[in-house]
Amino acid sequence: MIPVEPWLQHLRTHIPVAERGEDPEGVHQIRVATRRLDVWLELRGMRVLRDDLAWVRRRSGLVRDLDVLLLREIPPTFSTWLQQRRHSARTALVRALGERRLAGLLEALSLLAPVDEEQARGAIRALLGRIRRLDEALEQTPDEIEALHRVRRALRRLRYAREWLGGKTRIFAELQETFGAVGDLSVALRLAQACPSKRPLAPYRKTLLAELETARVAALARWREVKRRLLRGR
Amino acid sequence: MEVLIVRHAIAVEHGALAPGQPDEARPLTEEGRRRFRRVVRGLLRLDLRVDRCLHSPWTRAVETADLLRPVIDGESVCEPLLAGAPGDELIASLRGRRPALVGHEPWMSEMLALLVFGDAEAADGFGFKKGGVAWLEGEAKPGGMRLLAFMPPGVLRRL
Repeated sequence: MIPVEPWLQHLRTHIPVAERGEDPEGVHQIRVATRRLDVWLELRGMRVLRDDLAWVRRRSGLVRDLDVLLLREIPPTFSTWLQQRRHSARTALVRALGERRLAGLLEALSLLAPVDEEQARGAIRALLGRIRRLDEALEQTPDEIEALHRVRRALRRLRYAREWLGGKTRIFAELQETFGAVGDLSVALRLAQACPSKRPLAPYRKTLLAELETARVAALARWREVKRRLLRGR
Repeated sequence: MEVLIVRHAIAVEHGALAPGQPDEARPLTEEGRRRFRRVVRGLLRLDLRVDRCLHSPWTRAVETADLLRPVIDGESVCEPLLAGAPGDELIASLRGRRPALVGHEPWMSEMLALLVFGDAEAADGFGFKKGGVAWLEGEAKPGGMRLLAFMPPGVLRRL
């Protein structure tokens, strides 16, 4: 049986850290914990509560994306705009962390019975099937970055699902690093495109586009190297 | 606005829980699940879809809301106020075109009485069955709604 407690406790532990705002790790760990709890619910075959987790994740995710981007070397006008956005995103996150919806979510998760391992294995087989289908779609349009993102997100779910069952996921973690660069650069580009300072940021956007293309090609190549091994059905 | 008030489906008895488990953790029985799936089919036949589902954090309400997914077009929200007596704050959380509330007795009857009669104490003797659904229409305020239907699970299962 797979109890929810380890990652539920992880989430509880990091809520006050995120509220205080002194350590960016608090926000990051809230996002990680909500993703893993979402996969636990999928293993359990449940859909409700996943909307509540997604709500917390959206709020923590935006702050985390901005934290990561602000660590990069970026043009000053972009940095100023990002800091303003981070301020409002953080205000929204702290408000959400104090809402009764989160208290209800934590209580509801704490009351749920552990997941049966056989049921979890069935959910993992379904996840594998989903990744195979996403891979087929990716191979039909290998230049489309959204197709790669879909594989990346599904692989992360598979990694977390296997970890709930105590499986080894070293290759998944390594692959996630490679894919992570594509994710980070995509977020950076999306925000740079949304920034009102269009003309001063044009050279930076061009650099980001080039970096993203390099990262996309590298991730696709690595994925093609390892996918046969990863998608062996069990 | 229309509102569906749903009482959770049949759950295991308190004595069937593992030692130390609180009453709040009681899950639905297999029979309760099977029967409530048929209730959901009845709601689908009536085209009673909802755009938001608020449910109590207690397991039997969470599992009932999960079975209700085929009629939920929008998001589900865990609402701790549904694990207690209804009041203005819960009424204020009613948003959308047709939200659903999934909770427990006596509070679901009290919510129904509050919305229809403006008085939660008028709920005495409603006999809100497990898996039953009340369908209301009007303004989300005490006494602001009228009852369109009060559907026992047995009727919905036969539709």
